[in-house]
Amino acid sequence: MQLISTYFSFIYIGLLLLTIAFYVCSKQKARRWVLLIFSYLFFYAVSGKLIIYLLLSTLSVHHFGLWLSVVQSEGKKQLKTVEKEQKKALSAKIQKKQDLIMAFAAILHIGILAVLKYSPFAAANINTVLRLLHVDHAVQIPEFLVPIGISFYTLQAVSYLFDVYRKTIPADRNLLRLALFMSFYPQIMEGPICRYSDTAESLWKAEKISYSNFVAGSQRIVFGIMKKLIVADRLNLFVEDVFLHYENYDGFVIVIAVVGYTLQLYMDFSGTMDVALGTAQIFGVKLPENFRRPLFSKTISEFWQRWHITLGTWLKDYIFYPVSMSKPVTKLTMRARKRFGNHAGSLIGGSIALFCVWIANGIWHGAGWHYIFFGMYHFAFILCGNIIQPTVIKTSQTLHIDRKSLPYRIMQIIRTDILVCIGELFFRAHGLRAGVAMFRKMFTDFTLETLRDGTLFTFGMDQKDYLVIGVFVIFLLVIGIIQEKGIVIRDRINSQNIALRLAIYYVVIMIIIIFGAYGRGYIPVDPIYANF
Amino acid sequence: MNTYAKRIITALLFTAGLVCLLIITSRITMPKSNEPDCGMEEVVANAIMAENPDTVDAVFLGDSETYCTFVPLQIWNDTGFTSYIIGTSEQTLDYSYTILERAFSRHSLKMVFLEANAIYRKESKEVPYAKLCELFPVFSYHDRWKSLNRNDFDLTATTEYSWTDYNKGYRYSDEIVPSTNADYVIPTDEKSRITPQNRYYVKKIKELCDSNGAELVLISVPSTTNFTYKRHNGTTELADELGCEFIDMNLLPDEMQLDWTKDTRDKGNHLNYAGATKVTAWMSEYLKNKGLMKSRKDDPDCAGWYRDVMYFEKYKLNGEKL
Repeated sequence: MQLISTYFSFIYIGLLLLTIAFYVCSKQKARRWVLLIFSYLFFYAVSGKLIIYLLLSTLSVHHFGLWLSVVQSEGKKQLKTVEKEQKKALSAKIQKKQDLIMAFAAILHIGILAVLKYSPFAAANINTVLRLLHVDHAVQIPEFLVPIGISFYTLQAVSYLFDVYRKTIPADRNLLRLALFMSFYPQIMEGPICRYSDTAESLWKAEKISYSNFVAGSQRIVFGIMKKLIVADRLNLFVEDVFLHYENYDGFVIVIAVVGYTLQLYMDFSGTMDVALGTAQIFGVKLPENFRRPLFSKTISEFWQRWHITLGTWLKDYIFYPVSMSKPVTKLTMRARKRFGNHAGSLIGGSIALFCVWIANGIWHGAGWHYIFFGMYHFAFILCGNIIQPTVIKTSQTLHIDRKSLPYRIMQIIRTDILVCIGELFFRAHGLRAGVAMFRKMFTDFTLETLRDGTLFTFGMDQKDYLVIGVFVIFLLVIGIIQEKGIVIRDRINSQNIALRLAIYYVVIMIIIIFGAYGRGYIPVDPIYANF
Repeated sequence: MNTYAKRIITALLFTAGLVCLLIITSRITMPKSNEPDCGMEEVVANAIMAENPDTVDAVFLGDSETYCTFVPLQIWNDTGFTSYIIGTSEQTLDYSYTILERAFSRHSLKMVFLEANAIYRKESKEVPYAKLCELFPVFSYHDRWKSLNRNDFDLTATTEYSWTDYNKGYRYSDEIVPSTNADYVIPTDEKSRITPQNRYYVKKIKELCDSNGAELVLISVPSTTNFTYKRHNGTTELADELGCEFIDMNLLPDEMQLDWTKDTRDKGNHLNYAGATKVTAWMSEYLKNKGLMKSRKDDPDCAGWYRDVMYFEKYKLNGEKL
């Protein structure tokens, strides 16, 4: 995969300007074509011939959607014609057919993703087991070229099929509308993972570009570029080097790198989302938000309601609920409730579904044990949180601790951020073993010597770079606090007089140009989540 | 005035204001000197601008192959001709064009050698960025905010080119890492493809040379790892198309007399000093025979070259940096 920082390159900006130009010059019906053609052009530019996977996936989704729809409508007709006593049997038969189609379609799409992305990992593990069993045979699977965004558009495809299967939405007969929903270029590489009901219609409508949407979308794009270029890319050399050669550094440097990586990932991913959502907004399309100031979360559970929101809701809707509502789990929950009471009983059933969600979350992020560990790490904290929550409430009531007080909330936020950072350590580490070694070093080899001897300034970052990051993080913190109070900063800016607005724009643009980590001495960094 | 007109005027005013800001910040961030620690990009190649005006007659454009292969001070010793290497690491042709244009603004070049490796380098995807840097140097030098001083805010100040490279762009190395691929010239009729963007820039470089009265020569320097016969054929075709000479030194083993067990610094990719002197000796003869340049040994503006030869000899002996 070759991205060259695609959302932040001149290719993207050029493509966006061209799309806008063609879009503006086209009539309403042609505008949707403009979006579709430029989406495929973009995908071809970053994936080349691997575009075939997207095409096949779109055709398959269209076909299976229609098949499900035909079975549903024919079943409905048949049910009207049969006697009352035969209805139950026929209904079960129709449902079974739908189940089979749905299962086949889901296996096909997730299967392609699994083969392309996970087969080398699976083969490596099988070979390890074979070696342990002293079997003189090794499974050999070639490394496949993986199209960019496959993890994202596959989830969109599966969600569409599930929604048709559940009759939440009708199957779309229009292949082009479906193709646009699957391929819309601002979201294809890193999401957000959209539902058909969220975006397909507004994309197809292809409304005129309004002045307010253009301004608001551009503001958001600039804000995203700011996050990525000023903080995320600046931290890259430092984070990369420490995670690759952690054995050369002490615990203090590792702690800084772990915090640095968490910041880098947040700025990179949320910055890319700002660009994606801003671009879509220009065309009058409202993509779902993927971030809601996650580092202000008070618990790990809340963190996942604020971080990569669309993945969380996807896993909730298509894994958590189906598993927790499945017959065996419902039965288990009922039994457990009777035996251990309501709270514990529900926890047991819910934990099984939660476990499935976090295994899926870990694996979705990549083929590696450290990703699975990352999922299990969060599962453990969310489960523990659920278990001890009543005790914590009771204890704080007994000790007269106001859980809504500011110091208590700040303490919760700091605790959650520390846990999140540790999770990101394992997420970023080069394998689980390296993650464990780094974690251990943070405690066993902690010294402030490197702060004194200047090691921190040997990663292509000097004091001034750290200062820029610090100032920008404080700036974002202030913005975050204001947003938490429900104030929409962009609305405030837009309500100012023209001179002040222009001054703000100039300052922001010049800050990006001067303090951005680009050009000589910096290597363009591909958006991190595009590789997942 | 209706809303539409108002918005257009606002957009125009906004753009004009932004351009002004970019010009001002470019003035501020541009290095005020070409000293290596002043933040100048490609400081060695750009030091051609610090040579006395109209004193350099030939330049070598291209990637690292150029600054590992030709020794301008040896050409000076052999012939009295002045040359300079404006090749830079992994140079893409858009930058070749930019730096050549800059060189022409200072010198009346007679010959321009473009090393063919650059013609097959993956084309720069960020040409618009390079253009932007040309228009507004703040995009190149924005990182200088860290070292700005009071002088930088003098908007009338321009870059003073005072630092020259006594090696004239050559990068010395006597390291020997032999090549095991001495028989690397395998003939074929196939041709390597030159991308449209690279083809466009070679044509532009040719036009630039023509308009300045210089002769462009495409050249492929000896390299066991970079040379392919397919590339040779592709470059031959391009040279025919442009009507310029193409010298492939890889096909002149008898003239070059290279010993790939001793004359390369990195397994045949680049030549070391021993290899470079052999190739440069041939180049001196070629330039003499070409007859486009004259010896400048008596030119008072080139008196500094004698001093530079002395520095270079001292460096070779003691490894002293000056």
